[in-house]
Amino acid sequence: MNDIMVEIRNVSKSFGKTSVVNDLNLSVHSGEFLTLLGPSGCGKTTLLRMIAGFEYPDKGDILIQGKSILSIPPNRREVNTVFQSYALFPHLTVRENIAFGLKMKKVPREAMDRRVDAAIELTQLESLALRKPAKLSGGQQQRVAIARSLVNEPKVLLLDEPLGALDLQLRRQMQISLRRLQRRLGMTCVYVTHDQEEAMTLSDRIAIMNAGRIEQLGTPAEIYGTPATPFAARFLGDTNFLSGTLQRAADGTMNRFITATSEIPLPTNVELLKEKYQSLSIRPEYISLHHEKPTDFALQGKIIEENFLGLFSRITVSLASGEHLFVLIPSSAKSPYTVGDNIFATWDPAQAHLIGMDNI
Amino acid sequence: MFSRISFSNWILAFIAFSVLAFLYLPIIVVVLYSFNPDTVNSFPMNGFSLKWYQVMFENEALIASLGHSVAVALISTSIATLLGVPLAFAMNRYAFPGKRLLERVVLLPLILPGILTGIAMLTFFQMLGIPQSMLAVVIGHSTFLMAIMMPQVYAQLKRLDSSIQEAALDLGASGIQAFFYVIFPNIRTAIFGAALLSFTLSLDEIPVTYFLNGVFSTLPIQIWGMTRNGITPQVNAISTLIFAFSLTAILISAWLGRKGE
Amino acid sequence: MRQGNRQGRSRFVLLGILAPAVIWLVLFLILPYFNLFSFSFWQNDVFTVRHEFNLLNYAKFFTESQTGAAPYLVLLDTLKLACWVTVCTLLLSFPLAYFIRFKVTRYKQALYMLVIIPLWVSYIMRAYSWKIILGTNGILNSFLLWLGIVDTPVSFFLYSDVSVIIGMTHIYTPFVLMPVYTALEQIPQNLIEASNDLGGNRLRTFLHVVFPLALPGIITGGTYAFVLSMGDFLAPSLLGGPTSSTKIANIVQQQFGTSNNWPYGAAIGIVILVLVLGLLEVTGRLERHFSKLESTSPRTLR
Repeated sequence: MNDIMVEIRNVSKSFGKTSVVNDLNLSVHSGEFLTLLGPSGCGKTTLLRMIAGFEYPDKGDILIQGKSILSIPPNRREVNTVFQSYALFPHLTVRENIAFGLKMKKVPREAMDRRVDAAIELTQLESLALRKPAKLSGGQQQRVAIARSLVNEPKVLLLDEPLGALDLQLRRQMQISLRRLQRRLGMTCVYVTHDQEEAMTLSDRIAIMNAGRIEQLGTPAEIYGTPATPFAARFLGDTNFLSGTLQRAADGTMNRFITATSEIPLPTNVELLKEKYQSLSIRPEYISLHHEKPTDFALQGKIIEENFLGLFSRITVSLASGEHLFVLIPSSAKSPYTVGDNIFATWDPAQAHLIGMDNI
Repeated sequence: MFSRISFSNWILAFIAFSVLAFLYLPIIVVVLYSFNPDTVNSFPMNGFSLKWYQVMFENEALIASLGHSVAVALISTSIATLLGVPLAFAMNRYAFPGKRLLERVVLLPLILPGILTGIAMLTFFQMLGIPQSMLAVVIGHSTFLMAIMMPQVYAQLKRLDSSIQEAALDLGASGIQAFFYVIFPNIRTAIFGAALLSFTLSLDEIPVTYFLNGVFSTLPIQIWGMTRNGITPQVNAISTLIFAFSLTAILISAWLGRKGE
Repeated sequence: MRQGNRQGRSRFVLLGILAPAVIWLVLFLILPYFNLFSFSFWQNDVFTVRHEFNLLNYAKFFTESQTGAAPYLVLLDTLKLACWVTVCTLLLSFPLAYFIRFKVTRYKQALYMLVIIPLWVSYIMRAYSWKIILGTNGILNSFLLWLGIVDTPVSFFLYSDVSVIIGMTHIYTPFVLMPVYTALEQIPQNLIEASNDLGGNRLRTFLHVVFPLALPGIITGGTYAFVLSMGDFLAPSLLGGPTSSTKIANIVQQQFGTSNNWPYGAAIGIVILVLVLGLLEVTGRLERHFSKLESTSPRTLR
């Protein structure tokens, strides 16, 4: 749909003997908000720093609009970074901080003032322009850091966990305004975070990273709905895994998933999958619980715990196989379930997904 | 219970202030007796006079040595700054082999007794053909003042958010621009504070100077000579002036330090 | 290839920044120390130094002396003095540091400043001050006469080992105070509250919490006092008496002065150097061993 802004080709990077990024390929479209999501140490920040120019890949190439940027030092790359610590210059005022990049590029005074004013307005920093960073709150500092990068009109804006230091409420607020700003300016963003909720709120696409590789790349809905690996399934949302083997139907009836104690019907698209797949992922909110055995398939178990979570309650069911099943049900004033109840769990076969266990 | 606690606190306070008195009494005595008209320092003081200040200012050898010391301190502090600041910057910014060793070596003249540094330099300079002179003293002072300058600047650099250097590069500054526009303004006060302390230390240094000066006399060497040949209250006067200068320098550097934080 | 260029350039920049300081340090610090070492194996002739390896200087160190005791006995005497100074400075520093850290709330910073200021006050002024205080015609004597406690001036205040110890204690106490206070300052208040909460009384809290955590600072401070007083030749020459004015550093000073036997002086210097470096190594290890606070604090990882 869009032309490609950033292309990462077979990039590897190790520090000493530790391999941090491992033969990684990724394309970022123009105007796209792409998030690198993964646990700490998965290589996401290193990847970002290689795009910015602070680290140099051992192997592979990084291109912006089709041209390799590896030979360009960070100060001449048309990308800007919002640092995790904001890295505001403590001796300069907010305005001087924002003007820094334009001053370095020797932009004429008038144009500089105009662009700085625009950036200040965009980030609503008018009343703070003459303060020093030490006199700002975390959220305000974060806005200065964004304005300082935006004012240079970079081809790609790189953000390294920029909201990590803020409290939850402010973080949600900043997520919304950041997303709005990005849409308005049509800016290409590469965003690094380990917060799954943040990744889902902000991103056009998410790249789930683990051990220096991309486990899955797709829209938040795609990854949530059809996680490709157990890691992806667990990292984006909660899920239940049931282990067993796949039994292919010979005659066009339902494929079945055979666990130690039961047979579970599967959607028809599993023809595409191979025999090695042997783990079934089912999100907690897709499971329904019944006191009476339903007509279609059901797993029998016993409720061993119920936790009130606000909007939802989480119910833990111990299955006959010994496995635990987590179920999310909308909270109500009086819970229809009590601990100790014998219960039947069932779901729409289309909502469950087989995942290859060899990818763990 | 309450009275016992306050009693032990009272004892502690008494000890603490006694120690403080022990530290300050001798200094106060020297300052007071610099205004004593008598030749002998005896109790009680015999009035107030600026006589010894006058005698001191007429002591040409003493004033000449003061001039020497100021010159040595200025030159040595400048050299230590020019060498120590880039060194601190490199230590903070780069990883290189032998970094830990280098950090220790820089500190050696401060950790080892001055006499060792003095005789080591004396014997080596003799071999190099550097005579006992102002030049030798300046080299000696510059070397041990690096041990003041480098750690102070290094500590300030470590306190800085290390990513501001990267942020400057990210925003289009070259390495040199990043240093002068971003790093330097943030270590300026630390450099100035360390320079002030270096200057004070150089003005006061004896053990290294003693082996390198030859006939070139610095102020503390001159004073030392005066005190060995019996007591003259001129020493009280000159010491009081140096004390006033050091005190001002310390207060300025402490004030800068607090402002820098 | 391009990568090679950029990394090569950064290495070149590093070299450019480092080179002046490193060359200076090698030329004016490291080489002089190595030279001193080789000097100590040479021999003194009438007007020159004979470059010929032998251990005579070290042998001489343990046997004879032109004046007074054999140098190694002077060294032992100096070590005894250094021990006294170390103990005295610690005994003075700890209560003061403890008081400022735990008992003072207002003007804490100012009080700490006040304690540290003497560190920067002219060495010669501080050494000399004791001369005018303790001398036979000095202030202490005239004060005692004035009070009528004594009728003739007391002469033994000055020019003794005691006056040297007093002077050095005065000079080196701020050096000890600084690390001790820093160590006490770093003890989190909540540890002391936790100890009280767990039933430790004041003495037990002090013995089991405060003191062990202050130990690294005490070791650092004690090392400063020991090393500095061991290498001091000024205070003994100003405040010491006929025998007590000759400490090991004074013998070195003589070899480079009146006795004019540089190789011998270098050998004694090397003995001091080895002692000091050995001591620093041992105390450094002890310090790391006792730095429990640091090892349990979270480390920041890049």
